[in-house]
Amino acid sequence: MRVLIVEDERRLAANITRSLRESAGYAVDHAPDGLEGLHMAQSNAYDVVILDLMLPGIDGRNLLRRLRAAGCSFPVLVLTARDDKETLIQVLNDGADDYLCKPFDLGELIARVKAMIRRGKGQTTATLRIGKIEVNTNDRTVRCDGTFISLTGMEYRVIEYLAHRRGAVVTKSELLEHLYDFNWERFSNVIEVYISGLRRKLEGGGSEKLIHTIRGHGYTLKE
Amino acid sequence: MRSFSIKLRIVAAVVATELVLVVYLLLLTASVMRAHALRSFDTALRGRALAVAALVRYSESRHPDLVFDSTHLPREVSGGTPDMFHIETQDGRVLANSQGSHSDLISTGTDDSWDFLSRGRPYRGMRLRDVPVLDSEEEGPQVPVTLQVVYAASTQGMKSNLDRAFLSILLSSIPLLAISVYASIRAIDKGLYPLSELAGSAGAISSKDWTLQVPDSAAQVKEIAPLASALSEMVERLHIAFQQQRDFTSNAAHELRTPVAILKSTLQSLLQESRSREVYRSGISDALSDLARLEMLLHSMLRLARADQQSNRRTIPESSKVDVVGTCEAAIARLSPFATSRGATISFTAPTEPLHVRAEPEDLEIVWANLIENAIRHGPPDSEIKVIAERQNRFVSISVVDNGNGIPVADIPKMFDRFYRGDQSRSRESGGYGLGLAIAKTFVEGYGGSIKATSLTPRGTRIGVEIPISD
Repeated sequence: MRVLIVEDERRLAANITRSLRESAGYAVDHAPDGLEGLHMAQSNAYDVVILDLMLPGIDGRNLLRRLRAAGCSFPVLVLTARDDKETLIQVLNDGADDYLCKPFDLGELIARVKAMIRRGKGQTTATLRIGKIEVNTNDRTVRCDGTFISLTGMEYRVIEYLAHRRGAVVTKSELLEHLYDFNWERFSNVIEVYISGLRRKLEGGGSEKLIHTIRGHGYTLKE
Repeated sequence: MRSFSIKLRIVAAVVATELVLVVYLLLLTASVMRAHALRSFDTALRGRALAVAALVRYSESRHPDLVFDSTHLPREVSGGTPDMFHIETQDGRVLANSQGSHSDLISTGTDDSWDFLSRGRPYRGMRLRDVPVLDSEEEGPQVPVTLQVVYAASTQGMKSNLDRAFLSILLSSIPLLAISVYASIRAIDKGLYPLSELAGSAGAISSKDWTLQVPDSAAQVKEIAPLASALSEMVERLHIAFQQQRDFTSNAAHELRTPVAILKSTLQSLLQESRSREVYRSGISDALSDLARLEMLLHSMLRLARADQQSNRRTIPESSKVDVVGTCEAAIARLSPFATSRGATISFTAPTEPLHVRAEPEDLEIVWANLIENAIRHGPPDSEIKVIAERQNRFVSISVVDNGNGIPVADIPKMFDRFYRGDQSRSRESGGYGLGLAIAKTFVEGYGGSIKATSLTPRGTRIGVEIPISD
């Protein structure tokens, strides 16, 4: 999953970034002002955008309206230092999906971001089941027939993304877009490495195939 | 103070005026009518006296003598309240007397006409002298005989006529009084109605709706229109003050919440995993610098609150005299490390004689320090800041001039607003919260002075402060 933080307070953005990377395993990008936020949000595939309202360049509400007008459909979580109902109602009406008032709790922020990603992908619970596989997005564990499967961080990210998009064909470039932020070098062949690792660990001795390769297109996770 | 009713007062005034008018009219009418009635009564009295005198004639004897022929007495004379008369010749021979109480007539009357009481009844008497005897006698005395006639008649009828007339005037003024009271109540109610309408629309003003709908009825009344327009202006001013207060609160909330959010997130993310000593150490120093920012903001807001308290006093406090030059030097000394760190230089020009104003020295020092700090922050790295103190008529003038980029003309009116930042970015790169100039303005105005900013050409900004001098 890939998250964009549009926030002019660098330290706050850094803290949120660290937290999302560490406790959710998300790829995180940071835009320090409204203009850059607008540019980044329109040119990359984000699963959630965290948006501060008071921004240099373009202010948060304006940015939000422009993104929605441009047809961006990702969930947006607004951070605001104003907690008057009027502002909050306006923000939600402008197209925000949720809000948090400063000062907020990092744990709550992460839980809300996860919930928004679930909703955005059409899921209802934090635990995703595909056949005998169970992906728990809360503690970031994967079980197969009830047995814990040890995965690397990147392997987990791939399976989590595929589980969220179960049944759909996910291309390699989509995976790259959603699993890496700007801090990472991207090579499309590493995806193949993760996929084969996942197959080995999940399908192991079993006969049942879970991750299907659609040649020339990508992968799909289904029973 | 006791409350009172305008309506009651006006009605009371109308009734009082009306009563005075009625009494005055009554007195006037009474005196005119009385004089008129007396004049006609006197004429009638004279006529009757002459008629009675005409009954004196010469007897038909050989030596004719004057006799009174009482058989021809007019009827009224012997009516319910009989007239009185007394006729004598000029030499005092009594010729005739009316029956009854003519003694009252003789004893009271000395003048030509007078009023008296006889048996409890009012009478008016008249004395006619030198009345000739009408009856002629060829062989009469050589010297013609003249008569003196004293005649009186009851004035009771005239008096009761007059009383009836007064009573009818009095009675007719009562409905007049009632009509005017009613009319004045109606007029007052109608006149005051716009006031209650105005009160209604003033009552509808709340923190959500600040528009004062001046009713047409109030705007059209010449006496109420100034009140309505004063009320509108007052509401407008209150609205602006309320808006400013609300903006201040919401800005203050924003400014306080943001550093708290940073501090909280720093500590929470530090606790999320177990980390190395170095990470903890840098995390704690981050938290401390966040805290320092919070502390600075708190400090500024407390200062602003103190400045507000100062300027909310109606009168300029009786501070002791303070030399402005000294406070400028103190502020410059305080800021010189900061200036050096930015590569800025501060120069100070002041006259040799002291410039005294009445103010608290630490407040003035804060003002100068805020202006200089603002100049350093927003100027180029190696800016030259000039502080000039001088006397201008009745004022001490302090100017802080920088050679920065200047301020856009449109921003000048706003730059003393609380939490206003020139760059709009609210970026903390240049530091400050947009409170420094607001604090300076509040203090300066609290001491009866003024502050204004001017953009200089080709570059730079001048912030000028004027405070009344105290010799």
